[in-house]
Amino acid sequence: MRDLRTFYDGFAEALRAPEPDAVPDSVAEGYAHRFAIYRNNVHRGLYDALGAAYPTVRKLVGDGFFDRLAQGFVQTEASRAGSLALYGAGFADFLETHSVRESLPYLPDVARLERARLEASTAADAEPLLASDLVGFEDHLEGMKLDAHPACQVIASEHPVFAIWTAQNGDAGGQTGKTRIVQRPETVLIARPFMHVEMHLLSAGQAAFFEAVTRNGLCLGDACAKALQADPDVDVIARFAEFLTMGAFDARMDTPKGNGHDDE
Amino acid sequence: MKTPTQLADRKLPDQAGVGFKAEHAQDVFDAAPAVGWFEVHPENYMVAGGPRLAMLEELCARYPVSMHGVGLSLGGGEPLNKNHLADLKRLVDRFNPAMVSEHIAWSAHEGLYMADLLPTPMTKASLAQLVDAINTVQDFIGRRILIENPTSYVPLPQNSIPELEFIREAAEQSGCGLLMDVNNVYISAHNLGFDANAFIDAVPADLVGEIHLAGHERDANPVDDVLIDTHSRPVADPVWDLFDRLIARIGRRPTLIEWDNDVPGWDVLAREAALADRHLVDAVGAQLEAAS
Repeated sequence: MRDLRTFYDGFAEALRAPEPDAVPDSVAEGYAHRFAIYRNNVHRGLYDALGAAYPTVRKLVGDGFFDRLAQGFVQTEASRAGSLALYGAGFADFLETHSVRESLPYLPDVARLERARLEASTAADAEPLLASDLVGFEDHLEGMKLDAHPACQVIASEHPVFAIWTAQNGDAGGQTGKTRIVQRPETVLIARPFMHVEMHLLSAGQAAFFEAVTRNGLCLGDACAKALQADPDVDVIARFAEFLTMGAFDARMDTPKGNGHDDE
Repeated sequence: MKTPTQLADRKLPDQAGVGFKAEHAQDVFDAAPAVGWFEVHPENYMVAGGPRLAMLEELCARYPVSMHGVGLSLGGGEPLNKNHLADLKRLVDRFNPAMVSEHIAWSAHEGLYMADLLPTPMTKASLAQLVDAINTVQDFIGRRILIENPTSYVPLPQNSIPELEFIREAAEQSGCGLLMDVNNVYISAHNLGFDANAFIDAVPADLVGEIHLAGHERDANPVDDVLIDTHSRPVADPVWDLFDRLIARIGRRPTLIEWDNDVPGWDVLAREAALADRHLVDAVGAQLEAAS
């Protein structure tokens, strides 16, 4: 059994070794180039998994440079799961510390956006709250508290991440490269009410409203006040209706006292 | 359309199947091609919800599906990952695949995964560990599985049991079946210098539940002539010959066309599967001729 342990330890150590010609003792002499096939597969497997999770980052930096980023990243985040479907959670934070940020300062936030899209795409299925679900609750809306839909996330960036993403991947009409990118902060809501991941640009008032409801747990009435503080011109009722259209709230409501029919 | 219950009762047909790729989903769902079955890697579906699982749901409603794992690390020196086992069981319970299979290989070391099928040494001690691991999986998911013969690139001097004896022992001691990857036999025979025909002729017919076919490539290294299991090309002629030799003796089996890298359009895969089906039909003809 001890021999076996030594075999696995030596093999794994040589695979992770930075020297490209490291070979474990357990492999017959003269086979360094063949052992390199395993090392290449191990590294390539992680690079490709990362590339599949961050296709826009890959497009922005090119395949060759992406591999160099991946090479650095895999040293910082080993896979702890036999599935690579959700590999790469720390990539945006890694890019934050990498020199690539000097030339492409928006890259970490583009990675955050892509991660949110992946997480939205693989989140548990849940019903979004629809306007029709609120029929009968009209008089209680102010006191109502709502949760974000489990697939829904908001990414706030100092950079125009939505425009950058759209320029690379196409807008709703499938046009790429036509978007004029203006340097400005953008806040993006990523939602997957049913089976498609969708993105929506939020105004300052919308973003303040959504954060107040879903992060700070305020009731809708108090959240409206926050929205008006952030943007005095915001039409709160119309913006709330838009969130319902986006599928941003969970249908499992924290129902206010009473059932909306006071006369019963 | 067949109901899921009918499909659940069905085993994989003794026909060609194809490794399912998300990029072919529209072709497959729109044209409903006459392919016997599909295979998926369960690891790609180990997520909570969303379109990926919905796609698998749709595939399973239309075709028999085999779940071919790549991440259990059955041939590793450490206990199986409980989360991975639980994820696999959840998929098996939900989709009731016609077959579940895994590899004689390892990928986990001290809880970290290395995204490749690494070589399991073939000794008495590693055999005992492998049998334990297979038993654990079969007990946990409540089904018999198939295990696939490995691809070898390097000779491991500590090996004391010949490969075929090792995999037959593993199957007999655990009650699992064999998934014979004919491309792996060809590659390993070439790389390690054993006789592929003799290996194929000694494969125990009654244990083989499925066959895999795939393309390989020659390594670019300047030192020696090594074949790599790339799943990136059509099946090579000598691999078709080995396949014919195997099925002429043991009869038809569900046979998968694997193509995982440089994946071509659906029509190329469909043609490769049709070719495998023709080989399967011809093999039965050859068997009948030999018997008469």
